[in-house]
Amino acid sequence: MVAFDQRQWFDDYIDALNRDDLARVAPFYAPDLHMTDGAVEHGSAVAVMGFHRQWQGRVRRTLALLGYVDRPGRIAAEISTVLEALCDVPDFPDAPLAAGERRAMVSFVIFDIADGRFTRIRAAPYKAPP
Amino acid sequence: MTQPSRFAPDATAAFTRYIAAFNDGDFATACSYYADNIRLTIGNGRVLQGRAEIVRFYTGIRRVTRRTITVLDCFASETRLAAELESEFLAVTDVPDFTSGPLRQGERMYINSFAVYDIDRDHFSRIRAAVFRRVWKRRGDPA
Repeated sequence: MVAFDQRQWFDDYIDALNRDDLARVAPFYAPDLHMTDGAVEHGSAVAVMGFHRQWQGRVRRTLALLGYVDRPGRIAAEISTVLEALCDVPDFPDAPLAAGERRAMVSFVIFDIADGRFTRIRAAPYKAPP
Repeated sequence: MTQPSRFAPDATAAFTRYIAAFNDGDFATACSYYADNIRLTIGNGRVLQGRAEIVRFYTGIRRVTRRTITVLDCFASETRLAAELESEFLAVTDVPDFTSGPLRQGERMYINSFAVYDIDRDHFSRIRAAVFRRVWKRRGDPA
């Protein structure tokens, strides 16, 4: 039996998000995944994937892992996110994005994992420069 | 011979003792966890630099609220500890200029936060908190 390498698995998830490879992203989510970041809240993997698809091709998202601590079943990560609008996105959560506009943020995120999938993802915005 | 770090082998136990000292207002013990150049960023982005500024800030908080921090979870590597905390603030007087918004005597506020503690050998060198959720219990709210 191959041991589950939680860190490698997590790095693969971040890589899939950065490549906007949603076919690779989907298997990371448990069906009853609950995700919230303060601006949006989703109660299922279907809803989260719908959210990702909504911005695909309209917003380029680049995530960087600034810090990582884990124990089996839980990851705490410090993540920098840069969003770049590829066109006008008037319906973006929080505030509209104009074509070419970039928005950067840092979040502390706690990921809960069961059976090799995320079951809960909670993000808190970090308000000072890292 | 080098003394073993207070965070080894059980960082969680050491962290629990730190939070207990904080809850008791035992700043001498709490400050013993801090490196000389400690830098603490609270949830609203304000930065507290050094032990004296941290003690001054939290002494002020304790003057107007009773604050209890509960460790919901924590885990660590050799250099970093992550914690999910719930802080309850009970206003012991009216606090119109409370950092998260005005509080009236008897009102409570709960902050669920995610915090990251950088560990430099035996001390915290940097502490940063991000607010995940704030819950207010105002007068007249259901119990």
